Amino acid sequence: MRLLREIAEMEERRILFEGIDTPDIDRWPVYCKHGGGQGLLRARSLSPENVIKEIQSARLRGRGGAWRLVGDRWQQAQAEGGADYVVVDLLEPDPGRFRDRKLAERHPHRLLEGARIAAHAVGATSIFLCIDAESLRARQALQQAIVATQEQATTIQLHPARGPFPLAAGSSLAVELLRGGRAEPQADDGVAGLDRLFAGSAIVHSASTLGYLPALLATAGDVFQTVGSEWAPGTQAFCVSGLVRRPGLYEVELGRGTVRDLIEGIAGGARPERAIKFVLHAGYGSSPVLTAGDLDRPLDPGLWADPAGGPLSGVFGGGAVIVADDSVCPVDTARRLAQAYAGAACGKCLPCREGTAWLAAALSRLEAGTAQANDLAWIIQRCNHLTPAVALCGHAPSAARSIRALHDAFPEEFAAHLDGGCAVAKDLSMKVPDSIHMRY
Amino acid sequence: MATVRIHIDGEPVDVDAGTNLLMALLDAGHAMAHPCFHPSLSAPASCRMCLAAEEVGDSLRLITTCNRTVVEGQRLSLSHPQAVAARSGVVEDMLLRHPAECAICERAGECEVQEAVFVHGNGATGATLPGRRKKVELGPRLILDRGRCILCTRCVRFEAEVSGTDALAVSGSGADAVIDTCGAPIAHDMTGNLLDLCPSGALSEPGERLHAPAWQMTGISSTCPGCASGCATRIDVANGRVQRVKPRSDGADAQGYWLCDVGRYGWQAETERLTTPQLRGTAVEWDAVFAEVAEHMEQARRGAILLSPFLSNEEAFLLGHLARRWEADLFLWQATDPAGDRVWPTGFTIRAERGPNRAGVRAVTQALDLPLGDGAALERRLGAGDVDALFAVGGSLHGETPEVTVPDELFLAVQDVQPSTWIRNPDAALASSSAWTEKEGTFVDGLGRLQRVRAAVEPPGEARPDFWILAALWHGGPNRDSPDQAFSRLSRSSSSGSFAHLDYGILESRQRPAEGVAFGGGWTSQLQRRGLIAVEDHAKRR
Repeated sequence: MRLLREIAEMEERRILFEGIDTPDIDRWPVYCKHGGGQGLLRARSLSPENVIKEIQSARLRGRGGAWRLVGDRWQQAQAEGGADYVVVDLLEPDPGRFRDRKLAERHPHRLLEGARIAAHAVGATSIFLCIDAESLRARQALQQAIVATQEQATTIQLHPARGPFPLAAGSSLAVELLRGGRAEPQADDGVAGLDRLFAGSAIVHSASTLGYLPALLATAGDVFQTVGSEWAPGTQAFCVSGLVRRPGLYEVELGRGTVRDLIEGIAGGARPERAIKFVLHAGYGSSPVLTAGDLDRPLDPGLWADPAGGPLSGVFGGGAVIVADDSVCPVDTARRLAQAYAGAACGKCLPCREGTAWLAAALSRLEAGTAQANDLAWIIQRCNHLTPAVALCGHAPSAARSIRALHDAFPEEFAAHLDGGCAVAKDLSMKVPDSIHMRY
Repeated sequence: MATVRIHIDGEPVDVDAGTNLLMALLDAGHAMAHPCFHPSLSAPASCRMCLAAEEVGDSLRLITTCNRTVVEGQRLSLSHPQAVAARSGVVEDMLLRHPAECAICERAGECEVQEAVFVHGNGATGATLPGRRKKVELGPRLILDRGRCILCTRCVRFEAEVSGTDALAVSGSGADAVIDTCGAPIAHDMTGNLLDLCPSGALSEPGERLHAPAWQMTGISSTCPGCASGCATRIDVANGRVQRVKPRSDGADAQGYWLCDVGRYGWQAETERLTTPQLRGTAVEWDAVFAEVAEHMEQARRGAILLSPFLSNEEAFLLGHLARRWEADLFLWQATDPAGDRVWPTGFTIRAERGPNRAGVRAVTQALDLPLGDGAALERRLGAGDVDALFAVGGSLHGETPEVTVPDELFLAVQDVQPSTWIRNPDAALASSSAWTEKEGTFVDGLGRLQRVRAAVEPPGEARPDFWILAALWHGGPNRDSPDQAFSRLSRSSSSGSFAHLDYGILESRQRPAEGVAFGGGWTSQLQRRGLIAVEDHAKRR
């Protein structure tokens, strides 16, 4: 049993969302007054090579979920003759993730400044912001910010696209949308290098990744010297949702504290008379399921990326944390996930199109207690089959991994559903959290 | 060309650099289903069936082979348990909603879904979802059964990349995604290729259910007479009737793997046939016609023979000899589409020159050292009254006739497939064979390629093949002379010309591959030869 005092040691540390509470920070004069634009000014006073060197030594990693080193990607792009376009991926179709949208809604100039720094570093003259057309407030905020700061050197265009978007589809999804295509990713053809867009090449970044650049450039990388773990310096913004007292968006330092600190400390823990049952550590489509006993995992993606598959292995993901307490049936969660994945499938590749639809139908039967005897065995077999190489992108494998992980964590409850029973006393009351940590 | 060495299941294979990896595997004789891949279309790698395990260092990773090119030193394992399981798993995925109606499906027996199940499937499925049960008409000659569709998007890519019409698209997403038209029905002259491309029987043509099943058909390799492009075709025959015509090309030239609808459906248009030889409108025996024609042509002092661009080289050769015997002059009429060449984005061309063998007929007369005039020259001669007997050959497939005015007083013999469409009824009408499916011989197409044409069925009624008629005129009655003997004589008589040192045996050996309905099925026959799968090979049974 951890002491409350110990848990309370963990607190927010804002780099990405720095200044987001400031009133009217989405307006250019206010943004400038609070130190905005300094990063871009300094970046433009340096040569692209020096900017890349700085980002390399700061060891900034992409926050989209793949955690690749941004500096190395830029250097690679430079070696290929530079990129013509910077594409900012604001799609965020993953369940429980709302970080990039909040950044765009409340802190649009920071995002644009980061995108301009990236464009300077890779030699791009155009920036495209690829965003879900349904994110109306984010679109409005970004459009106003673009109009306020439009300049000759680097043009910025907002590209609203219609979903549903497959999850974990990689950079080719945003590029395909910009081409005017359907929301379908492109298959990996084994050719390394930048994505091709129009007549040139494009480098795709998650919005949150770019949001770190102004702070890094303004302080010459100092801000990452002291914050974060060695593998992944800096912070991570976690979207905590589900059945906790204070769901919200929390930016915390990486490498300090554990998942338990985040959920039970900052987010307030389970509701009264409830206990945390499991946590979907999702985002980037990857959902290791952490049961109540697994919550002492450190918040350090480097330790999770254990290729040997040790006890800590798993995918750290893009920072979506969905908490379930003991009023939640994991089969119900699996069913909801499967339906979400089936609904968001683009339909391009055969295993995902047929597989996710079948999983959703089979899990609905299982949850309703009308499953056939071999359904559960087949659900697990289909999940095992949907590995990353079998499907065209990460969408179906994420669905399969999440469902498989829920089954592995709670095999008895899945088996009980075969006989039509659910041991969980579901709480169908309206769940009102103590507070929602999204004041900004 | 530089070659690279790859290792397939430990066996080294040398292939040309830049070869598609999947094509390299298929060429090496390995079983690999590929419902979404076609060598003439872009590769979306969306069916996920051509999975192979690639050894990278000590580790193994699964890759799709259809969207990659070969890399020097690449080590692939097709038989690795992981790859085998992945492929059979994808086949299971494909069957989750695919209706089990092979027994009544038009495509059964030549279906790539069936082939995939035979090659990769493990024979088990524990899961079914209700499929989409809806048939829609995409165009006048195209029906889509969405229940059978596996959304390979070959048809969508064909419409975008080959026909250039963008007439088809995927609509909806996820499991609700379906193939649909973009508003207007598909109506262009390449739609038949969609039937060949469709791997699953989702696309069919009206009335296709009435065809004999694929395994009852015999495929006969021939050349399309629809225009001077000379596309290779396969005529599928069952129960003594032509069932359909399919392309047979290996994709090596601009015509690709395709066949236009003119060539595919043209044979169906010849409904009204001349089925008996006639003298002045009365049906008679062949002997009477031969006697009458021979008598008039031999007595004529200013005889003329009007050659047709639909004649084979062998027939033109016989007519050349008849022209010498009758001391008649030779003329050749021309069938031209006034709309000009029709060229598709990939270079596929329907030529304005509709006669399939105009070049060949010219070459034969040159080989025989005979002067050859055109239709206008004959018209001038007729106008001047300088002709007293005319032997004319029709055989048009598109209804064109030579534009000549034939005076009533001269003797006119017409050899044609249809009742006379000439200015006046001929004195002698010789019922002959259609170039679509009843002609035996060789053609020289607009590019100068010499290719075999084969008869798939007999002409109707008393009608006879052109060669048989002309040989009877030459020899004075029915005989056993054959096109290959005539070709040998032609080859000898043009010792330095176009046909020198050739015979039918050499042409057979140079013929483009016979297997392959468009592309689909090409790899299956390789597997059949190796005994890996047992599907009746209708193309090979002849």
